[in-house]
Amino acid sequence: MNVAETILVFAGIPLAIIAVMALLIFVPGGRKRPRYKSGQPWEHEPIWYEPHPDGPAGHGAHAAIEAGSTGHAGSGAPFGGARGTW
Amino acid sequence: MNTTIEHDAAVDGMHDPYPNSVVRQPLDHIFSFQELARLDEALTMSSRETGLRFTLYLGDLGPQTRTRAEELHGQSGGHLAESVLIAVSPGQRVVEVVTGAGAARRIPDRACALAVLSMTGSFAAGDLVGGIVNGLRQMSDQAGHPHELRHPY
Repeated sequence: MNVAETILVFAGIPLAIIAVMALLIFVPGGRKRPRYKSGQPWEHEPIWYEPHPDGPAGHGAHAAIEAGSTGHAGSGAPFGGARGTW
Repeated sequence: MNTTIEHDAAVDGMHDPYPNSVVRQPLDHIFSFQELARLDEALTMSSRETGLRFTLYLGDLGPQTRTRAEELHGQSGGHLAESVLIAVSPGQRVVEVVTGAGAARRIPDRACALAVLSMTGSFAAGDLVGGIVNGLRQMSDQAGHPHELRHPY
């Protein structure tokens, strides 16, 4: 091989591979949502998530209570649970 | 997909009292659709397997976080005694788990504390969805299936 071919094979190919990798890594836009880091302020409105409506079927009579009227659901007291901070 | 209830009067789907207001947020403005699907699955499967109602609140809890969380539990719908609320406030770095009277018998406070411990570990590392999903898994494993409770032998 002459000098030009040598350079092309041993320097050109690795550089080409690196260039392709760099394109794939840096060009696609980036995250649409900011990544959450502990300690940063939470700017979003409060949001609720509930299980899919055809969820707990209940056993027998209980199913009738979940008719959507929270007024009759009573209260969950006395409450249990836990709390934590980070 | 799960039902996402936002306690904000403008978004109840029936009428828009502020028709010229700010553009509505797209559904994936906090979590990606994949993450939403994971949350949906975790909440639904936990609720289905245990017969308890698990809900998740993500947002500010005010200065008295415990009191506010208990209030929210009262608004979570369904049969309150058999409901569990997980309230996460990433801005205040607090998570409150509130169990109704019936749910508390099946998931004792110690088990809730263990779940909270694993959740806060994940949250501190920036993984909200993973923490919540694992916490739900731990609590529903602790609660067990309703059938098992009727036939202990």
